[in-house]
Amino acid sequence: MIQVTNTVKRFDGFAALDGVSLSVPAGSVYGLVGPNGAGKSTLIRCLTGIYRQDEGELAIDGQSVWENEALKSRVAAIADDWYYFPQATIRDMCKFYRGFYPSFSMERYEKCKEVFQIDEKRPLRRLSKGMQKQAAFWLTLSAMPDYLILDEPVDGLDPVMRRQVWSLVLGDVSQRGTTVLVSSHNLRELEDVCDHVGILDHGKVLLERSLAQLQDNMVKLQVVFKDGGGVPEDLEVLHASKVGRIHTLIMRMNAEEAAHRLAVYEPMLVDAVPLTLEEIFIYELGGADYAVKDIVL
Amino acid sequence: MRSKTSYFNPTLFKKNLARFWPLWGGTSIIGALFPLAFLTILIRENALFGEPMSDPLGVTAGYYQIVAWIIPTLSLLYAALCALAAWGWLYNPRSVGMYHSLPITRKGIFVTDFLSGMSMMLLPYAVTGGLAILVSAIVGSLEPVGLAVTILAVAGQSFFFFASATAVVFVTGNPFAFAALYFIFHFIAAGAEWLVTRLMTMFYFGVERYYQGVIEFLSPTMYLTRMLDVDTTSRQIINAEGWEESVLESVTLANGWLIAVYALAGAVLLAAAWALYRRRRSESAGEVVAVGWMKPIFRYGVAFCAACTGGMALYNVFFAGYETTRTASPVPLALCMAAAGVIGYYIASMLLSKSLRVFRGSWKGVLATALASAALCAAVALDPLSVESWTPRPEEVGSVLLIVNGVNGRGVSTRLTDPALIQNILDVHQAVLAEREDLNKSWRGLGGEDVSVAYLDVTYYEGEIGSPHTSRMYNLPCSRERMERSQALQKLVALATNPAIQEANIFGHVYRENLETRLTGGYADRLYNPETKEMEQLDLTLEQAKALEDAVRWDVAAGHFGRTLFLLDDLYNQAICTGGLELYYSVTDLDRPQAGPHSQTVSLSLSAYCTETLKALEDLGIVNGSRRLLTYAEQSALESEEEGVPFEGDYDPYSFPRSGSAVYPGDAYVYPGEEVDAALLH
Repeated sequence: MIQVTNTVKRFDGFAALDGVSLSVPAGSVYGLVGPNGAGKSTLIRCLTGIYRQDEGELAIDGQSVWENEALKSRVAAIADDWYYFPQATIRDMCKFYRGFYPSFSMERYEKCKEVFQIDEKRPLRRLSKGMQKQAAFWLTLSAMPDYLILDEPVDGLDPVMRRQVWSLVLGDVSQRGTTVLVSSHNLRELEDVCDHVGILDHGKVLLERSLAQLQDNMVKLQVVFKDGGGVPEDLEVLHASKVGRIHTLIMRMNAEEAAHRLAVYEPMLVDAVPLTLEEIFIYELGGADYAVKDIVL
Repeated sequence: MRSKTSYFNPTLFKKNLARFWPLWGGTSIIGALFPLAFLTILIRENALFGEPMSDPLGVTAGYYQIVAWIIPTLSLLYAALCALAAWGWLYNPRSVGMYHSLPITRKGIFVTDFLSGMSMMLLPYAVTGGLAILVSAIVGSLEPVGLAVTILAVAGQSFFFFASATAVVFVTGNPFAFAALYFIFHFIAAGAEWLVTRLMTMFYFGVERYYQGVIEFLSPTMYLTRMLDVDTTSRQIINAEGWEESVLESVTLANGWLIAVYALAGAVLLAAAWALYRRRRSESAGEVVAVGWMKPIFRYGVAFCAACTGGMALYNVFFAGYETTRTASPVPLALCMAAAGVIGYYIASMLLSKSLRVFRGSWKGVLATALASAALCAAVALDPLSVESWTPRPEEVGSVLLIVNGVNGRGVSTRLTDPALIQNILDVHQAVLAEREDLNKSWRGLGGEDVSVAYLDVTYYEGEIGSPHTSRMYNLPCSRERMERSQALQKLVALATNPAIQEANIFGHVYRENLETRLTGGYADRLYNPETKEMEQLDLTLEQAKALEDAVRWDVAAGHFGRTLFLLDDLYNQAICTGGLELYYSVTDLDRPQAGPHSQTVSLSLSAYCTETLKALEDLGIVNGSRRLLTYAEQSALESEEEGVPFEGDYDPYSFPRSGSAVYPGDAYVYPGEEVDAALLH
C-alpha cells in the first residue's frame, strides 16, 4: 500500500505539492490524473526517492521511501523522460538494472524481448521515442517490482503497443499482486485500466474514489415525460439536457433510487445509460473547474 | 523496517569505468608513451643490458621533479575531467532522476562514484608509473625510497585535487559553471590578492608589483608548484679514469610535507562534499549555484571581481588619459568601480536566476554593491598601510635586486648585498619619494616638457634573492634642467655609476661566492675597417682578454662605466661606441659541482669614458688605423660620406679623442650628479 499524508513540496517558495494525501491500496491500479503543473510528476518523484518532501509523509508498505534501499529495490518507476546512458543498448541497461534490482528476472527479460521485438544491441539513442518507451517497460517489468510507478507511461506508444503494455502490466497486477500508480493528464487513457482514481490540481487532491464508488453514486437517465412536459422543478438533478422529447438527466444517486423518484411523475420512458469517467468527474466536481475540463478534453 | 544499506555498488563502479574508458584509457596511453620512449632510447643506445644507465638517485631526482613541477598542474586539469565523468550525471535532471530512484542510497552513490573518479585519476598514473618502474628496474636504476615517496606524493596530490573537484561538483548544477567554479576555487585566493594589489598599484606611486602571495597557499596549484622542489647533495670522487666526478649523495623532495597537508585538506573537502550532497536538492540540476547559502557569496563575489577588473578597465579607457599624475584619482576610479560592480551584480543575478529579468526589487543589492565598491576604492586610495611611502629599514634588507635604466635605453641590473650599497639605494628611494609630486607627473601633467624617462626598479629581499621580497618601480622624467635641480635624479645617477654597482653589474654573474671562474677568451666586435668599409670582429687571445679585463676593471673602479646612462641629446652619440667587447668565462657552481663547468659571457658596451680600456685596445693592437672603434656619431658621419650626403650634425664627429686625452664629452656638458658621484666615491 502506498500512503501519502499531508505532503508538501516547495520549489523556491512555490508549493508544487500543497498538502497532498492519498492512498493506493495494495494490488490496485491507481490513476493519478491532473492537468499540466498539477504536481503529478513531483509526487511521483517524491515517491521514488528523487525528491525529499518538505512536510508530510510518504510511505510504501508502512516504510518511508527516502534513502530506503531495501524498499526501493521493490519499487520500479518509468519517468516521463526516462533516462538511459548515451551510448547504452537495451542489453547494457539490462546489465545495469540487474546490478541494482535483486529480483531482476532474465527469464522475464527474454519473454519481453518477444513482445517488444526491438534489437537489444541497438543503441537506445538511435531508437524512436516510442521504442525507447517500450524499452523502458521491457527493463522495468523485468525488474519484477512489487510497486510500479508510471509517469505518463504510454505517451508515444501506438494503440496496439499501448494495449500490449497494459496487458503486461495488468497481468502483473493479477498474477503477482503488483501495485500500480499511474499518472496521466488524460482521463480517457486511464478509464479502462484503473480501479482507483485521484484528481490532483494545484498541488492538492481534489477527489479520490474507487471506480465502484463513483459508479454507485451517480446515474445518467434518458426520460420522456407525459405530454412532452419538462423536468419537474422539484426534481434534484445535476444536469439536464433535451433532444426532441427525450431528456437526459444526471442525478447524484444510484439508478434504483432515481427510478423510484421519477416514478412519481409517471414518465413514459426511463432508461439508464452508462456514464463515462469524464462525465462522472465533470458532474462530481461541478464541471466548471479548469482541471476537470482539461483532463477530459 | 529498513534492511541493510550498501556503501559500494560494483555495478555502478564498473559502469562508470566502462562508460569513461576513453578518458582514463587515453590518458594512460599518453602517459605510457614517456617510459616507452625512454626504453626506446635505451635500446637504441645499447644500454639495456650494460651498466646502470642512470644513477638511481638521479632517476629519483627526475621523479621528484615531475612530482614538484608537473603533477600539480596535471592533476588540477585531469581531476576536473574525472569529476565531470564521475559526477556529470548530477547536472542533468533526467539522470538525477534515474540515479536517485535506483535502489541505492546517496551514501552508496557518493562512495561508489568517488572511488570511480579516484580510479580514473590514478589508473593513468599507475600505468605510467608502473612502466617507468619497469624500465628503471631493467636498467638497474630502481631506488625504493624515492619510488615510495613518489607514489605517495602522486597519490596525495591526486586525492587532494579530485576531492576538491568533488566538493565543487556539489556547489553547482551545471557543467560549464563547474569548470568555471573549479578553477575559481583553485585560483580565487591568488586572484583576489592580485586584484586588490593591482588596485593598489593604480593609486600608489612606484607600486607596480605588490602581489606578495600572502594567501597563495589557498591556491594549491600555484603554491605547490612554487614550494615543492628537489634538494640534492653530492660529493666529489675520482672515477676509474682518474677524473674528478660529482656523485649524488641524497635527493629529497623539498617541502614534500605540504602534499600531506593538502591531502588532509582534501579529506576535509571530501567531508564537505558529502555534507553538500546530503543537503542537495535533486531539482538543483541545471542551476549555476546549487547551494542556497552560497548564492549571495557568488553574487557579491562576481560583483567584487567585476568592480576591480571592470572598474580599472573603465577607468583606463575613459579617465586615465586625463590624469596629470601617473597614479589614479580616487573619485573617477570609485565611480568606475561602482558601475562595474553593479554590472557584475546583475550578471551574477542573471546567472543565478537563469533569467534576464532581475532588475525588479534589486535596488538594495545594487546599492550595497555600488557603495561597497566605492568604499573599497576609497579604502585603498587612503593607503592605510602606508604602502606608498614605505621604505625598509636597512637591517630588514638582506639583499637587493637593482635595475636602473637610463634615458637612452642602457641600464644596470644587478644583485647587491653590501650594506653600504643597500643604504645608497635606500637614500635614492627616499629621495624619489620626497619628490613624489614632481616625479609622479604624467605626460599630461608635464605639459609638453621635453623629457626622457629613466627607470628605477628596486626589489628588497629579506634574505637572499628568492626570499620574501617587496618591489618598487619608478618611471622618472629626466631632462637637463630636471637633473640639475632634482636631488633624487642626481642620487640615481650617482648610484648607477657607483663602481661597486658597476662591478656587480658587469662581473656579478661570473665573479661571486661559490663560483669557480676562469677567463677563456673573447672577441672585439664591430671594428671598422676603412679599406673594406666593413665592420669586423676580432678574436682575442687569452692574454689580450686578460689585459682587457684588467683595463675594464680599472675603468669600473674609476667610475667610468655607467656614465653614459644619463647622457642626453647628441652627447650620447658622441660618447657611445658602436663596438664592444665580449669576454668568455668558464664557470663552475661549487654548490652544484655535478653540473660541471658552463660558459658565461660578459658583454661590454664601450664609451669614450672607458679611457683605460680604449688605451688597452690600442696598446694591444686590436684597435688601430685599419680597425677603428667608432662612436655612433662617427658612424653616422661615415654613412653620410658614403652616401654623398654632408654630415648635418652640429658637432665634429672626428674631434672626439680616442684615448689618452683629458677632453671628454662630460667636460662640455655639466655631468649631472657629478658632485654626488664624487662624494660617494670619495
